[in-house]
Amino acid sequence: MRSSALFLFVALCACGNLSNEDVAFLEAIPQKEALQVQVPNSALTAQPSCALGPAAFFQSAKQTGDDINQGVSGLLELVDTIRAQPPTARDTDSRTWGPFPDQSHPGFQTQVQMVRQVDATGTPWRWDYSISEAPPGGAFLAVVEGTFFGAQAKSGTGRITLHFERSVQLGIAKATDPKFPMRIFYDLGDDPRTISLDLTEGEGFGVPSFDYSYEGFLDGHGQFAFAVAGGNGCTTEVTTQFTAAGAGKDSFHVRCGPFVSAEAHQCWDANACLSFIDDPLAATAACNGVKPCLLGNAASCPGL
Amino acid sequence: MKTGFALCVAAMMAAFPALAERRFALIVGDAKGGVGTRPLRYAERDARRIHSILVRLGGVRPEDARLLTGASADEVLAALASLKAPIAAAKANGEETVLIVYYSGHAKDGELRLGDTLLPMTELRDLLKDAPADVRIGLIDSCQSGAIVRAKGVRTAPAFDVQKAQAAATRPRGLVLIASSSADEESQESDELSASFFTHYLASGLLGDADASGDGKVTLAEAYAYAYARTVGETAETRAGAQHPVYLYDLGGAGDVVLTDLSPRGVLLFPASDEGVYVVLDNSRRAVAEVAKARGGSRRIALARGDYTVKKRDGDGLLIGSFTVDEQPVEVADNRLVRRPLSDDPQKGVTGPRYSLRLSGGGQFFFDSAARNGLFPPAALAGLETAARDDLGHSLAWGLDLSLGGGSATLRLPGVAPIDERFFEVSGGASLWRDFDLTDTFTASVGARVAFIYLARSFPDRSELQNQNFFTFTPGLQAMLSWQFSNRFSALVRGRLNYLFYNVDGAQNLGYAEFAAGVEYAF
Repeated sequence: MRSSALFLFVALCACGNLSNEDVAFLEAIPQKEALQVQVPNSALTAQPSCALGPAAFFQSAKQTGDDINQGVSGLLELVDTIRAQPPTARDTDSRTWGPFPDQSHPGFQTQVQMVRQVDATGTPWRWDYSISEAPPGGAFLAVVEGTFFGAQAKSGTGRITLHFERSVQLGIAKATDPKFPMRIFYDLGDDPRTISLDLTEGEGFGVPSFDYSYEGFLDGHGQFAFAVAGGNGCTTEVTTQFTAAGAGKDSFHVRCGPFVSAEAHQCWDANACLSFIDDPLAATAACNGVKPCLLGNAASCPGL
Repeated sequence: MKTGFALCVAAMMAAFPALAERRFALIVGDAKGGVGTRPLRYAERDARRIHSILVRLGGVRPEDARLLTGASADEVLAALASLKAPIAAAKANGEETVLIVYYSGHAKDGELRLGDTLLPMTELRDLLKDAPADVRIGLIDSCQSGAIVRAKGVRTAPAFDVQKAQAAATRPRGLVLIASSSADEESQESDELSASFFTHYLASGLLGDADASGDGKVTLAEAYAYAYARTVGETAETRAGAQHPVYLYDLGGAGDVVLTDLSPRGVLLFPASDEGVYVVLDNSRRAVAEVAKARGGSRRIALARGDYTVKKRDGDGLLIGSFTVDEQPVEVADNRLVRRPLSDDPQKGVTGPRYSLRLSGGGQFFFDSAARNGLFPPAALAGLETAARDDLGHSLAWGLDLSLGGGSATLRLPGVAPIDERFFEVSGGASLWRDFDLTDTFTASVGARVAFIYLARSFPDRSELQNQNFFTFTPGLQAMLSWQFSNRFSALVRGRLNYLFYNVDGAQNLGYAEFAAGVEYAF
């Protein structure tokens, strides 16, 4: 009896958040910075005196990338909330944070749940997590669901579904956010790190439909490709490659049904000024509608 | 009877023409008694008290007094030998000489124990017997000290038999030995008195309470009679039983020896109209004298200048007053004392504990390798501790400690790049232990401790990871070895085994060890 009382006394007095396992769980959640598209800032600093005009597509791609980053951050910053406080409940292979007030959305409650699976050696290999929001008096809806394979998010593979349709339903979405789920696939374990965004179910981030893949190398150069479905039945596929300094080149492939297809190429320098245009359909403004349009020096294109 | 004797001796003393007299004293106090003994708490204080009284009231010039504490037998013998020449010189000048040797310390099997050295009582007695002084007085306050007078026969009597001396026509010459207990008794110390019983009452008597004749002088006979009566009376109810001082009296000539002269000093005067037992406390609230008087006779207690507190038990309360002793007598009448409850006893909490302070440095090591991985890494600790001995009885001591520590470590998780961390730790606890004297200078201690521990860690290279902390209580056991290398300083090494209940990543029972080395300073 006395020993039980002593044990109870000691147990009641043992308190704190000193936990290696908590660190392990947090390590499996990607930081929003890790999932952001890194497009050189040169796209925003193009000079008006460009001889062939500014690299408009690249500039729009930069803007699109920033919008995507903002949308992703809007949901993943919820993760920062749980990093700031210890789990509410701990189990051997799960953690729960919250519910607690969502500081960004007054009256809302946030709850984060993580479950992991370990192999025979006890090493975690899969993590599933969800971030849920509940309006005042309402039920929780998962606005982020993710799965991560590995042990450390900054060097593993995972997928995240951002349920914009639910954030819209909850009334916490931004104006430019899509109205349907966006899926992110990422592999941060290699060079280049790759991030793919699947936003093909409808309009979002200012584009009607969007399928995006990004490769970012450690030295700063990279590429991304995306396809935009236009309202005229044509789809424009764009592949953009850029250097760390901001110079780069685009390839456009326009498809309008099964019979109409055209390709165009652009290069630009570190100031986002076009240095070479090969545009048979003269869609580029500098062509002034003269077909075929071949301007500038192909040798100026960066070797990517 | 005693009063009549004292008056008779005093009258004879007065009949002698005043002669120049010079007094010498060797006062020895030693708390340590070697292997198998526990240090005495008040032996050295007793020695200092007697030294102070003899120099202030006993006519011993400071340069003629030798005060030794913690000395070896050889050093005592050397000090005694060093007095031979000045005694001989004084005698050559025609001065009467008196040698007083006082010892407070351990004794056993007929030997005084001075640390690890031994001084046979028979040797000390023979040295006194052969010393050149006209009067040699030995005052031995130690266990079984009555052995020093055994060879000459011992009487456990309250007064000297000086009938032969009274009939003689010369001044006293010879040897007097007074022992605090008989040959088969222990001499006891008192925490309440902060002294041994015998020395406390001897000192009280010398300060004036033994002046039965009221002539302002305390003679050897008066001092002994007083110390005997009070010691026997006050030890009668102790666990060790009554302690009986004994004496050997081998004085030729006539009269008694005046040990202290109260007349020219600042005194506390206890008037004849009051009665009871008064305790005089000094500034540190330790007893410096007692006065036990009946109504009808006054008492003078000669004290050094200073502030004193006088208390007297009065029914279920205390009478307490504060007095300043200067050159003029200060009357301590009951009507100048203030009645207080017993809980206001100024001596309360004064007696007993011996405090010390420790500084230590060391480390901490968890036995479980998983726990050492980031949670409780090996840490360096620096600590400050207090210790109180002889406070709880049963040879138990207690202490409080506080340690700070920390360091750097690396957290390794499966599949995750190593994460650097810095950690900080605060630990504090209360300990209870028992000391075991291995030798005169080495002491082993074994005990238990209950502590709290607070740990905090941060990840300097990972700003997204929040700081973490943990607090709990940790019971444990401890063992210590200390080596006293000077009067107040000891070096120590200590080990602790602790239990820690960790419950964040599941319930875990963890054990860890702490090792430390340090220095202890005894107040």
